[in-house]
Amino acid sequence: MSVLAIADKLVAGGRLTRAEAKELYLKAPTSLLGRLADRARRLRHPEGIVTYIIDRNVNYTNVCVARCKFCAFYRPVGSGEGYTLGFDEIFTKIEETMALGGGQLLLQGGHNPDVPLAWYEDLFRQVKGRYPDFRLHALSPPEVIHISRLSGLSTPEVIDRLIAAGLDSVPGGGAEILVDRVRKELHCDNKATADEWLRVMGEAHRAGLRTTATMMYGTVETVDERLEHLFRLREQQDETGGFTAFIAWSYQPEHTELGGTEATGIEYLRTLALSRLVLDNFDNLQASWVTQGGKVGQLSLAYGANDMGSVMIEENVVRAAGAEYCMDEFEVVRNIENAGFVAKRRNMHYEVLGDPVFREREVPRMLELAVARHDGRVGEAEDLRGYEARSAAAKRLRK
Amino acid sequence: MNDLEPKAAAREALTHAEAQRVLGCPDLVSVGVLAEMARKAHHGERVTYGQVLTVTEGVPTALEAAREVRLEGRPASFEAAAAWTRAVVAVAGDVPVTGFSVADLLDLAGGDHLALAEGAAVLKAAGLTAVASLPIDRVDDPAELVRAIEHGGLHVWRVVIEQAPALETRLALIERVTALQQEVGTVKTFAPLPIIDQVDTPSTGYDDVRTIAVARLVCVNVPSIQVDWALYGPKLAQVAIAYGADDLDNVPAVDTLVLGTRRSPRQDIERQITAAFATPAARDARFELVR
Repeated sequence: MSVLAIADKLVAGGRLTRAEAKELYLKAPTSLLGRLADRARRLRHPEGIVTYIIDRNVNYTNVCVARCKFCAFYRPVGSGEGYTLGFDEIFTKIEETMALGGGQLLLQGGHNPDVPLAWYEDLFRQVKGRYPDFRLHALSPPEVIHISRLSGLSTPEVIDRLIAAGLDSVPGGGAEILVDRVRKELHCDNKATADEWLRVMGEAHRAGLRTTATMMYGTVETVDERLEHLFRLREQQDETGGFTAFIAWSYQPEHTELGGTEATGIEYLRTLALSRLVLDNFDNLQASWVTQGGKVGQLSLAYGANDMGSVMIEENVVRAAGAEYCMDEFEVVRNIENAGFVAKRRNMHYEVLGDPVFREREVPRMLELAVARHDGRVGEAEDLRGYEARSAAAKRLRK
Repeated sequence: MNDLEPKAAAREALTHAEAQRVLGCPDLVSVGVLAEMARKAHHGERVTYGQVLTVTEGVPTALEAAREVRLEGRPASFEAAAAWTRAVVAVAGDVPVTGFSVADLLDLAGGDHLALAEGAAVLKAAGLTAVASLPIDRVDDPAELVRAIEHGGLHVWRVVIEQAPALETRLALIERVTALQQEVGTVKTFAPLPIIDQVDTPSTGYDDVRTIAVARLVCVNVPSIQVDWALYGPKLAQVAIAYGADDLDNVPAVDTLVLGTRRSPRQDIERQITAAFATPAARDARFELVR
């Protein structure tokens, strides 16, 4: 089918096949992809609102046994640069987030063999005890699988335990490309195969949690494999319907074992637009300003995105791989309005919470993102001493 | 925007009102369609790039892949500028050496056009090929200044904007460049994105690409619309191609190995241009294509 015939099919309300999506991605002018994606965005969000969330990315540990080749953030077990945050450090971050009008942590970390399920349960319970309305968007599917392996419990059991402790929703991290050939080459098949990632998401949805879905493209995958990723997400969404949003970002190569170069800005806009067209059962697509920068991040709003993502406050993973962009609430809102949209604050369920906080009260400007520990301290926090360790190094430390 | 497409395709300049419409258009994709149409009408599929070795003091020890050596900074006097130029020209060989801004040289000349022409002659004698830039927002009578510089034997090929946060200001400056070119006819390129941005409220992506588009659609008498690769970064600079830019300036000449040992800045810029569905072509400071 020709590009124009595919475009006509989309305009008539048809659903893209994989072959049609490939034809569009390879042959359609960027302007046509943009127009089609913008139209699809408008049909789904005719009110002209672009949302964002004030939350904080907290990476509770950088110690990880997965050793993904594309990751510049992790440190192996026993590394002198490894860290695990303590509860008090996390509480402080929550209070700082609330002061900026935020109501949620995006809590993700390395696959640390010395952080058992009980630590997460205690943390979540204490957070909910201290800050009852604060939301925990935490632990991507590979982390759930890791905890399942450590605890000997099944993943549905782990999810149930975490929900009982206070888990509110699950972030879509660790998806990378949901094709096992790619995952093997990136050395991330051991943390979760494509089937495992999707299975855990299905389990979370069935347990009543909403989750996001992501795609990190631009490593070793082919166009066909990128499309397979999108189509598997679409199938999962058809089945369980629990994804609130899709977020695509380009691989950041600096300081990684894999190396190479980053996909270009135009590739990002084309990939985003195609995602909007393929993922016709997803309500929301986020702009990844943290990897693309504020300017191309804003341009995403013309290529299918309807959400500017998170103000973030803190970021450690992408920064380790070379991307250091920052947008505070003022900047996010300014960019949304400059693009002709109405800016509204939302929660993880994409329910509108209201207008920008800085218009209601004074909020300090934030011109750079915070890091896990501003003083650069390493090592695990004291309060981990009471929990079971698996590695020899941590066992010695906790004696 | 559809009604403007015949003008874009025919390389016919937009009126002020039409340009205002484009600058305020929230339908960014349509703006891109229009500007890309104009870019292709001017240049076909070709997008050029210039590898520049910027020198802020002293003499470079290696030229690497430079097709232009650009002296940057405000010299203390024409004599000091000439001495610096001579030293750099001595190591630059066949690579053209450009430098300074017309506004800074006018300051050195005490605002006197005759003194500016004499200063240009001194720099020409020292081996300078062209004054690197004319900041259109910093001078009152750009055509007279270009004539003075040319009277001294130097060229002014590149017009830039130093500072212009507001879109209306940018449009006024874009129209000023058109008027300048009508008078002098020697401008080869115009870089419409400001060199200096505001730290706490930087220019947005929408405003930047609309600025580029309007520059292309209004300045039909200027051959090239340029984006500074180093200043604006690979992502926006590449996207700018889809909004009318046909030249990427200030591509690093020195391989810092940031891109890894297997990829040089030249390979990367060509990858970026190709990924924007255009055909890359290297050029020198004179805007002549090089192999």
